Amino acid sequence: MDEELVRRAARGDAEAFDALARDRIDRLFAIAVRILRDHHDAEDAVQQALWTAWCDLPGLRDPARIDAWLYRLVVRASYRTGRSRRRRASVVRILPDMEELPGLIDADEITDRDALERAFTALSTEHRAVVVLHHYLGLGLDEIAAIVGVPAGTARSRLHYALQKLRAALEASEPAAPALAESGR
Amino acid sequence: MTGHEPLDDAVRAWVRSGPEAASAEFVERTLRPIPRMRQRRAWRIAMDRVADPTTRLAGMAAVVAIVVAAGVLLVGITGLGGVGPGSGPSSGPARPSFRLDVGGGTGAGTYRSDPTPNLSMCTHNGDGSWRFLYVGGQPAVNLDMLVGSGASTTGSADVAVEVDYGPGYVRFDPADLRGGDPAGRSTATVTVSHADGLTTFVVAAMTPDTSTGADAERIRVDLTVTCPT
Repeated sequence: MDEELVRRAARGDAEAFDALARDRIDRLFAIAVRILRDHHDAEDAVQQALWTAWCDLPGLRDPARIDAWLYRLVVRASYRTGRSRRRRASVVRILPDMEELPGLIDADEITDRDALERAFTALSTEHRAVVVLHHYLGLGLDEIAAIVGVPAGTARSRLHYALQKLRAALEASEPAAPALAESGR
Repeated sequence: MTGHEPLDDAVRAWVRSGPEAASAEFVERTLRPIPRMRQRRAWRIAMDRVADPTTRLAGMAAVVAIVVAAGVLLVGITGLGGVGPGSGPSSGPARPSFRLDVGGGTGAGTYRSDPTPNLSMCTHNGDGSWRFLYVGGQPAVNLDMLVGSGASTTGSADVAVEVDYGPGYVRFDPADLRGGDPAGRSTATVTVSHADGLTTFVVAAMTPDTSTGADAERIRVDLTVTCPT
């Protein structure tokens, strides 16, 4: 069904594209906001990605790959947005409402989240994208490599580097908990 | 974290927390202009995919060779130096253009029309009103201006504008042309002038910055649109 919608949209059917995009825009926004850590930047990136998707859809060879292709577009748009906004000092931290995680939030967790947030925003957008694609979407390294347009080895080393930085940040925020460093990969 | 939780689990839980949905206003703002945007041809997209500069250069050289060959063939048919009917110099029709100055709020700055927009269109309607639609540029601008038939050289409030510019967004409709602006929310004037085959609309407005979806501080917005008459 979706493949038929993709084919129709690629032939210029704006209603078909609207249906495709409405089904996916929340997921694309969730990816972008996790990479960029800013609602407005994420909206910018998703807007760029979907407008590019519409303009370039006639060039999509395999309609079954629509989701991977959209992920690629939103990641690339996030790179562009991230680069253009790097100078901006303010960073919006995305902490869940306390009510969303009853019983899970305590002072240590907030400290850890804050440490993760700081370490994550210190990473390059390229490193953040790999973390989000792997840990949020649950994609494997080969698929991530195809989406971000790098060899699988590069995707693996980016993920490894990013996790090292996040681990270091957690250790620094919690010096009395060496078990984490031992149990983490 | 307890200190026994593997790093992957901690990162996964942290990454998965956070917003899962875009706002309805943003969804509409993003998808609304799509039907007015032009899709690129598949062959053009395929050409752009050729990342190797040598290959791309070879492709361009082949195209140039074909064009030259076609030109030589055409000269052979029409005669060397011959001038066919209607082939005199032509600059083509003037294109619509705009300049937008946003005096504050999100995305403050100056935005101008791009020479190769996805959409740029002026229409002069039967009831005397004008409409200008534009989508394009980087950062992207999506502009929809309606000037009512009551607009004149002396100025009036007969204008409604809705514009996305990069991260910013404003809309104003003080004369209630589209029924979307409560009384007193915005003020705007539009002045219309005609010269040299062009119609120029100069709009000055004070309107809330609506970039976040809700009305924020009022900002100054100046817009000049030039349409071929």
